[in-house]
Amino acid sequence: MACNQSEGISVSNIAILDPAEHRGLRIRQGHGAQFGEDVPLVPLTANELRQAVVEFPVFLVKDPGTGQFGLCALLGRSAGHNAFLRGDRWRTRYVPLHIRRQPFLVAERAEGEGAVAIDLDSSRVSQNEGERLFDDAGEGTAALARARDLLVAIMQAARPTAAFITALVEARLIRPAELAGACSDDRVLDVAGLYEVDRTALASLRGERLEQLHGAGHLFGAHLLIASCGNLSRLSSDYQAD
Amino acid sequence: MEPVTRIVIVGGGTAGWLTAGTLAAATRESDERPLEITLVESPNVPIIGVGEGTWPTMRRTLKRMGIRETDFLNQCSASFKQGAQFVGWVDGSQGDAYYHPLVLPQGYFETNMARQWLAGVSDGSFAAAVCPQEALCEAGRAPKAITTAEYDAVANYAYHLDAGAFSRFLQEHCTRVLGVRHVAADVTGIRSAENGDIAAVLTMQAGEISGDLFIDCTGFRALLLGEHFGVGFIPWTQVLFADRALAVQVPYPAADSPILPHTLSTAQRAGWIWDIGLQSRRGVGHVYSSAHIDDDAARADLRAYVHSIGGDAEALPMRKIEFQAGHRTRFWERNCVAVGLSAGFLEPLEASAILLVEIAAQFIAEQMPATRAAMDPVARRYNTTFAYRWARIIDFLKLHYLLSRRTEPFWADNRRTESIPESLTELLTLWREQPPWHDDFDRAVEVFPAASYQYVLYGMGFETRVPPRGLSSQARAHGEQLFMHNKQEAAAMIQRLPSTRDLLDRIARYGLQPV
Repeated sequence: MACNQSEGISVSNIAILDPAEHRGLRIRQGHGAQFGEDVPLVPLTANELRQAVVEFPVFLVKDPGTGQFGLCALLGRSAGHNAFLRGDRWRTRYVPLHIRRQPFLVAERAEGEGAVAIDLDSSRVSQNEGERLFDDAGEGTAALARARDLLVAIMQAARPTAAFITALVEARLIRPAELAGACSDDRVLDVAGLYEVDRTALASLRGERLEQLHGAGHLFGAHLLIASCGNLSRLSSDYQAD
Repeated sequence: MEPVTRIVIVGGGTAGWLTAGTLAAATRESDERPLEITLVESPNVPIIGVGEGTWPTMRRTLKRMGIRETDFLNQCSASFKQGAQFVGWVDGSQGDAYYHPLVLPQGYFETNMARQWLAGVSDGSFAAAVCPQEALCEAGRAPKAITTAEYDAVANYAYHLDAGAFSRFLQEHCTRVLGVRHVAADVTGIRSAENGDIAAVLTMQAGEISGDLFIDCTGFRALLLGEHFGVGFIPWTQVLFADRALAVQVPYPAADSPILPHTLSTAQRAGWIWDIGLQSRRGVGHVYSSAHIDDDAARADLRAYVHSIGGDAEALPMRKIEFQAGHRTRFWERNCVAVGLSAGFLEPLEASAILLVEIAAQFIAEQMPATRAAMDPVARRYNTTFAYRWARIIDFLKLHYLLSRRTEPFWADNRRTESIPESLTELLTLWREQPPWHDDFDRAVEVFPAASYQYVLYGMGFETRVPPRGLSSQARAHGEQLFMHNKQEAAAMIQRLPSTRDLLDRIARYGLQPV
């Protein structure tokens, strides 16, 4: 069950956004399975943790191409399942940046220089329905500005996210998740490759390493991840609180 | 009571540093006052650097030392080894090849799949029928993915490594992380204690280095066990004829050339050629019997092989190593134990050299005598255990030769009754009637499991009687299930796993995760 952005790119039709070429494009707004939001895993940045952990269980998941850990919200029990999606709306106060940025992404044009790109195969992209990206004069609209802001937020979060994960890995605080019985009895979790913070290892941290993690805010982040597991019960279909 | 607190290892190289690292890691983990470990290494004697193939045990050995697999792979030019393919060993005809994989047969701890295979429940080669590894090797696949944790395997694996780089890598880790003291000095003499023990080694550059237990890692010379204590050497040349090796390093044609996922072992007229894929080059060598072929002819055969794999055979320098198959009559004498070539040497047909170092170091670490008084009983046990292990390895190596139907004098001589150990003759008598199984090997820590014998026997076309009492329908159905499961597993692994080169490139770039 992949949870990375690169995989989506490899099978999609990505173009750097160009006012001339893409002037007529419109973006369908809203939410739902029709926009590919019926997925059990979605990437998160470290900067989203405070909002995300009160809604979703959050785990670490390896990128299948690099083996590197990323943060992911666990949304469902199996492929095609997102327990937080009800028809055309999310029943959460927070929706991850990765969902909201669709169908846009950052293309690296040169070292450290990003450009707004668009996935032309996305079901959000339309010629006649949704919000326009450019006005008649070729100027970007508010919809484009919103997209740009989301991408900037993702870009800015990349470094702190990597630093957080590296710190956890180097402190040997990550272990394969043990989720037996975490969902309600009849609901088997069919999402493999989840990793969690090792509570015993965390509790036995001492001295300099503990201070370093604390000083960098990583200790707080580790506790947020642990706390987020309380949301596992929300993946069950019998979970009614809306 | 004289507690054992100071260990002196004489000699670096793979044996010295592996032993140092294993002992240091164990004592730091378990002891409040860890052993003081000193390794004395001559700055002038080059390491011999034999053995570029390991067993899967090396994964555990490195992990216990606290080494990151990513660092090891990247710094030792190491690659994954999923067993060996033996080419031309049966009769030398076109297509004569079989695998000795590292993955155990399906259902190994409950069902003897050799019995099923002999009864005709599955066709195809034995190795391919019972485990997925032959298919992985044929497809050039790695034994794990970039998402697999360090030292974890999808398919069991060992390593191919650059022995020189490996010694330097271990030295760095042992001295920087594990607190091993490294003394670069030439040993010039030995000072004996009154009771005949070694009290100290005398060195040219660093004076006298005293210790409680001395580990002889001085290579073929066996400076302490052989030269000082005069412990004898038992030659096994009447069983294993090879006594020379020519080694050559063959560069890859391109940086992205595929890396073989297994050791390639190709039979020659009077020996065999190893071919081992590292990240940076292939290590190739010709092991042969000087009684059956002269050096020039052996060199010509190696050149022809190097040429056949695309190497510039004329330009590459060849290094000659002379050896004698055999081992010391005792390995642990008084307060001195020999590890590595000082203990003995056998041709690298099944990569036993580094394995023997690992299991020796592990034995010493686990049964480290608390005091001098405890040392003699431990030494006796060690000598018994290792005499048994060497004998089993000799049997297993000989098995490869005597099952051959090749007709050259070297091969014909290998089948002469007087060259075959009795223990092996006895087993073969049994295996003509029924396939090898767990109870044929009765020690708690066997070197080769029954599975290894099965792979070699049936790879070489050895004929065991079809089970005379037949298979019950229940047993047959169970076997069919396992053979089917194996096919599915092989297909799924090939689908999922990258090529060896692809994975090593990714590891160099991103690293493997520790979990």
